[in-house]
Amino acid sequence: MFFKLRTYRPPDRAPDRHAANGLLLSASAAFALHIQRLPWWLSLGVCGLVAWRYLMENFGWRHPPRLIRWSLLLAAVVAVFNAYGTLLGREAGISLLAILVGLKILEIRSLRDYFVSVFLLYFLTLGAFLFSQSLLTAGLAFAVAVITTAAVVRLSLPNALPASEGLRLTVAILWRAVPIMLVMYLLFPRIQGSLWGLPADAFDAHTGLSDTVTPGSINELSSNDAVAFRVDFAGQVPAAHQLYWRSLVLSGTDGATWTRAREASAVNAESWLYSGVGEPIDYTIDFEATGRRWLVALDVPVSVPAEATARPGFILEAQRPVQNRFQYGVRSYPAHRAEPIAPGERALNLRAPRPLSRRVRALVDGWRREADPVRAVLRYFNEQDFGYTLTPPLLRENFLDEFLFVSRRGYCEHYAAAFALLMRHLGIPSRLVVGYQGGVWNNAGDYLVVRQADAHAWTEVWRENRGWTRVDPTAAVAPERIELGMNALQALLAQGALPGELETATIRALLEGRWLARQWHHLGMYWDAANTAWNRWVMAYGPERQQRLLQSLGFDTPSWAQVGATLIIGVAALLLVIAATLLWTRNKSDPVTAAYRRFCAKLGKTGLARRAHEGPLDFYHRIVTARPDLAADSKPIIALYVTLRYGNVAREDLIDQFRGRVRRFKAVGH
Amino acid sequence: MRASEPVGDSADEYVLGRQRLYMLPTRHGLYFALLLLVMLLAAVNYNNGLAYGFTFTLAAVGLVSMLYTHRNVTGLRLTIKDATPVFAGQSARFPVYLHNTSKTRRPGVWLLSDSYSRCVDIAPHSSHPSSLTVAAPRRGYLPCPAFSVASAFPFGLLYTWAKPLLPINRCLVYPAPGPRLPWPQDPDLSHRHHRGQSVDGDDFVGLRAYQPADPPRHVHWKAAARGAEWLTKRFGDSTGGVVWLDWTATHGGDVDGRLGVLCRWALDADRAGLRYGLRLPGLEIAPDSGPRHLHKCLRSLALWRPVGVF
Repeated sequence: MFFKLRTYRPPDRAPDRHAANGLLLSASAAFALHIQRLPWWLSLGVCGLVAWRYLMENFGWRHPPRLIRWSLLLAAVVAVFNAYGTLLGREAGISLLAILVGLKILEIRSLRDYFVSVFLLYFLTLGAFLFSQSLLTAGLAFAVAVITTAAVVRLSLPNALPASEGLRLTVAILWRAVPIMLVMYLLFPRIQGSLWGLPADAFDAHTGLSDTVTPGSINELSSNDAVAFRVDFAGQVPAAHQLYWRSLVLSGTDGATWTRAREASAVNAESWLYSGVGEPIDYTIDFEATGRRWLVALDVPVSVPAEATARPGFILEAQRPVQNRFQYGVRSYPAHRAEPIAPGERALNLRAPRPLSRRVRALVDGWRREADPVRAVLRYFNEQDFGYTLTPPLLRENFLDEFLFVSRRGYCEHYAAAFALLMRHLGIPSRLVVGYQGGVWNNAGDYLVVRQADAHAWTEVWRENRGWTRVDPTAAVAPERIELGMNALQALLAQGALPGELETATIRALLEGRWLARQWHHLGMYWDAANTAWNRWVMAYGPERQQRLLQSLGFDTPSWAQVGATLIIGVAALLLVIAATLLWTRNKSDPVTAAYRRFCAKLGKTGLARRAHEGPLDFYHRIVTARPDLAADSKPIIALYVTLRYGNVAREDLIDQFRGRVRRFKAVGH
Repeated sequence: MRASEPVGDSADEYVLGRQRLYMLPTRHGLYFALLLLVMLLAAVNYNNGLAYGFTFTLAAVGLVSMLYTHRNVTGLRLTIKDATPVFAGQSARFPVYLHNTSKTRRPGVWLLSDSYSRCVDIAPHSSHPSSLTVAAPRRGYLPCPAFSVASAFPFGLLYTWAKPLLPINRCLVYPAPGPRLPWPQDPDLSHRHHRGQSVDGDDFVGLRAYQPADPPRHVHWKAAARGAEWLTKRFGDSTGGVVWLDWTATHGGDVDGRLGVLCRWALDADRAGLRYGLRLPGLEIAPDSGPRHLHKCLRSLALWRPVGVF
């Protein structure tokens, strides 16, 4: 049989205008968080709903009838389905949620409606993290949460607290909640993978390198400013012309398109490890999500991170598609010990399917007689009027012929593909390497930022005694691309300069931006550094890091039960500490009460103790009856106490007078 | 019609300590917990660090708000005093002083009884006068009802309340004044009235049933406007009149009805400044006047119990 506890719950109250306006503000902020993702008509519609409610609250508009609300909902669902082809998934889900919040806010009549709206708003705010986990998103989302919570504070009070007071209180609570949040964040068991299947669009469609290269097809990456990865070097930072980040090796070609050769997997991938030459370079890569499996490593890696596998061609591949940003450390050597090429690999890298046109064949035959055909071809690119452009003419029929004799314009893919094909026709094994070249050094955070626009393609040729050797034909045409980086090259191209034909001084003058632009650039660096720190220390916290943290806390083989118990104990201990800081000052009672207690204590010593529920006047009557001799001294004390306590006055002089009289009061026992 | 004399000063004092306070989530608090669970599932499923952080922040804010809810009520001192007497049918107001001895403001503190709720906002280091209002349907002593102090501040997700307080305070409830009936007997006044329509003296001495010959300015218009029967105000010299308010003159009816008539007469006599005495079975109060006398009479009427057979 349970003891039935009588509860006294403060009555629910319908939300007033202040509470509703606070919610409208937070709803607007939450919608603003998503506005770039919502279709324009939906943003407009949601704004309309918020405005409608505003007019209802402040200008006496009427509640829309139920029929209108339901029709709006139905129309919105149909429109969302039309726009996305589904009602599930991230984008459609957020759109639906936004509509629901808007309609619910329009509907609010009772406290229950209000709380439903608040909870939907919290969920909508959470939704922003599915699209971005940047520092900015986090800051904005927490701001929205604070506004929403402040609106709730005002809700529970009939005599509306001023808005600033609600906000101040919310921030104070949030501030005290931070340590508890951290304990939960660090200790809540993290698991690898997901609980159930995620919708197809659960992760962003990422841009990045594609698995094939078709020179002459449209170049998508050169204008993409998104960060591909960031690099922290443990020691010396290599020079710009050494920063070749390899991702893919393409050996298969039909003359136009280059692909990864299936046969290559026959080669033992592990054979290339542990054979670096020169000074090792150690670095950590902060890799952005790609949705693919390829990773990047500086030419040429000799170690394989735990999350990756080694593949032929000195490349690293993740064990599963990279859906979240992650970090890995690699060691590379600038050169590699030559090992004999396997016959299969040699044949693969000599395959040149298309026959050469007559004029190309004449060229090739000329080079064949040279002592160093590689140098001859590079010289040819450099001395003839080949040009670098990001908007080359499309090539259709015979790539090599058209490129060498007609267009003579292109970017890295064109030069690398043409060069590799020529090498193969000259009997030198060669292949295409795709990855990134260069990067921009961030002074604020001391790391290198490599963007999608830094994507690059180059070639490798097999030389006796030297093994696979990097040759970058683009450098022969536009050395600025390699020496100054893609950023500078684009700036030069934008100003109409022709790469490969400029004096260094001219380039410097061209690149030296205006003061404001430079400051902006600096600011951008600091912002990127802050984001990087955020990603590294906050967002990268996953199962592995948790494991390491738990081990450092003394759990050798942590069981979830132990960790769960630690979590609960930690939270409880923190709550106790916060409770102590919040409630501790309470025991110091106010001066009037303290003095009255002293007065009662003095009387108590004479055997005239005040009873627990005895009011001051009743007590006084008893004093007069039992000890008439004390009546004269007690009377002003009692009178002052009653005045101070029940008169709702707190005059300092009266308090002083009261305390003085209590101090002088003497109760001598009989 | 409220008597102004307090009956006594018995005051009950409570301090809301930890042992007195309970706390439970409200319905919205339970839904909030459900929301957190769903958010946590989303965070786990998408393996989303910020979603974890956001969910745990809201959860931690909920936990810390528990302390704020507790702080809003704990340590609050209450003094409850006796209500000033009222007439049956009116509401008794028990003064409740809430003393906030802490340096934090306490908004959204509720006084709750079965039939009454009131929200107060208490400034730091101050006493807030409030009251507990209850209907007083019957004459006699009305005990202060059991009540509690509760708060759902700041978010309305949790609420705390004190173990019901059972103050010893009470309210004296006078009988409801009956209808205005003519005086039981007033030989001193009636002969003056017969002398004509101009009445000696200016003092209002009472009311009697309207007769067509009465001057219109003496009609008790306020009562007439309320739809009551027409009455005529009578004026006279306040000195010298002595009236005996006698139980036997109230002609039948139930006990409360007859006490009500006596109550009305006592009030009218007091207003008229008459000296009046009260005779109840087993009780007699000598004629006198003044507020103390009125209270003494009304108190007797409130507490009178029929003795023996009548």
